[in-house]
Amino acid sequence: MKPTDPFVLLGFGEGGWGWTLMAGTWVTVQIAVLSYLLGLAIGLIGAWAKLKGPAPARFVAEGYTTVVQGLPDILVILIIYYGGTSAIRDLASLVSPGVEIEINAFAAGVTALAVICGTYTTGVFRAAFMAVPRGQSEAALALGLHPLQVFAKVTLPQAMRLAAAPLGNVWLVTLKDAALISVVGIRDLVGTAASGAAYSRQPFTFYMAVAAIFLVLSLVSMGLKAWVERRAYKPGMRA
Amino acid sequence: MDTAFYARVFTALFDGLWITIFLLVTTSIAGNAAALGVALARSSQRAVVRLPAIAFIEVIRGTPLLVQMFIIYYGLGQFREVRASFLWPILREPLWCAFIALTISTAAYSGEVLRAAIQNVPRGLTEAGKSMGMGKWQIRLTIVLPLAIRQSLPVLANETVLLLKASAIVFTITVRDIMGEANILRSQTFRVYEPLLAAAVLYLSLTFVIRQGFGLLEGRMNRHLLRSPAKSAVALPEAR
Repeated sequence: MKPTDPFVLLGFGEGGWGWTLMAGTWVTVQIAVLSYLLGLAIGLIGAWAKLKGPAPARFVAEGYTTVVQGLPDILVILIIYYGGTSAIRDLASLVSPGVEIEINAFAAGVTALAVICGTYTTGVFRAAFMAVPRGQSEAALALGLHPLQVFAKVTLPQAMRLAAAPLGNVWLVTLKDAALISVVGIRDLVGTAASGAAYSRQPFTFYMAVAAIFLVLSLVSMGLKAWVERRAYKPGMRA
Repeated sequence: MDTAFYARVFTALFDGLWITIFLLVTTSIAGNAAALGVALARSSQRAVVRLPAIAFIEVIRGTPLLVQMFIIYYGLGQFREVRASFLWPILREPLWCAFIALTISTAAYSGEVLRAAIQNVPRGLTEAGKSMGMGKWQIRLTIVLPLAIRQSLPVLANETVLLLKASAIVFTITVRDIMGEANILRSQTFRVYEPLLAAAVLYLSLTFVIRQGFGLLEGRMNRHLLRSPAKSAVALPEAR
C-alpha cells in the first residue's frame, strides 16, 4: 500500500518525496537565476544595439524582440531545444559524419529562458538609458572621461537605479517561466512532482506542493525586490 | 518537395488554430468579465471583500499557470468526491480544464489592471454622481467602470497577447491547439523545423491581429476625444 497521507508523501521520512522535491526546487532556482543573469547580459547588448548600434545591429535587435515577444514562451523553448539540438547535430554530421551528440537539456533550457528574458530586459534597459539625461554623459565627456568610463561611472549607475523596479518584475516572470522547462524532460520542481504524482497517484497533493513552493519563492522575491528598490531609490530621482 | 507532408502540416495546424482562437475568445470574455468583479472587490472599502480578492490575485499571479492547470486537470481527479460529482464530466475534459485555468488566470491579471484604472478615476466624478443622487451601483456601472475600461484598453491589449501566448501551454494537458498539433507532428514525423516554425508564423499573425483589433477598438472608444479636432478640421476653409 502506497502512502496517500500528504504529510507522509511530502515529508522527509520514509516514502516521503520531500528531499526529491527540494532537489527539484534547487534545479528550478538554478535555471531561473542562470537564465536571468544571461537575460540581463542579452538585455544590455540589445539595448546598446537599439540605442547606439549600427543599423544592422539595430535591425537584428528589433527583429529579435518583436519575434520572440510575439511567440508563446513554450514554443520558443521547444524551438530552441529541439530545433537547436537538430541544428547542432546536422552541423556536426557535416563536419564528421556518424558522430552522436547529446545536447544538455539543462543548457538548452537555460538558453531558451534567457532568450525570452532578454526581450524584456532589452526593453527595460533601453527605457532606463533613455531616461538618463544626455547632459550627464556630455558633462562627463567634457571633463575628459573615456567613453567607457562615462558608461561605467555615469550612465550605467543612474540607469540601474531606474531599471531596478522593472528588472524585479522581469525576475518574477522568469521565475514562473522556469516551470515550463519541465516540458523538455528536465527533472526540475515540476518534473519531480510529476514523477511523484504518477508514482503515488496523488497528483493534487504534489502539484499543490509545487504551487506552494512557487508562491513562497515569489513572495521572498517580492520582499527582496522591495528591499532593492528602497536601496536604489534616491530622492529627486526621475522615474 | 514533400507535398503530402506540407499538406498534413497545414491541415493539422489549421485545426489547431480554431482551438486556439476558441480558447482565446471564450477565456478573454469570461476572464475579463470575472476580472470586473475581482477589480471591484479589490478596490472595496470593506476588508471582508477586499482581502480575499487580494489573496486571490497574489496566489494566481505568484504561481505558474502550468501548475494551476495541472492542479485542475490532473489534481482534482484524485478525489473520489470530485469523480462522483456532477462536475466530473467537465473536469475530465482537457479543453474545459484549459478554459477554467485560463479564465481564472485572466481574472487575476486583468483584475489587477482594472483595479489600477478604477483607482485612477477622478474622485470628482464619483462625487458628482453622488451629489446628483445616484446610487452606489449606478455610479460604479455608469461612471467608474466605463472610464476604467476605456483607460485600461491599451494594457488589456497587452494582456490579451499574453493570454494568447499563455494559452499555448494547454497542449501539456493534451488539448490540440496550434502548439499541440505542431508538437504531435514533430514527435510523429521527427521533423522539427517545419511544424514548429509554421506554428510560430501562426502565433505571430494572431499577435498582429490582436494588436490591430485593440487599436481599432481604442480608436472607437476614444472617438469623442478626436471629435473636436476633427470638427475644426472640417471648419477650415477648404482649398478647392
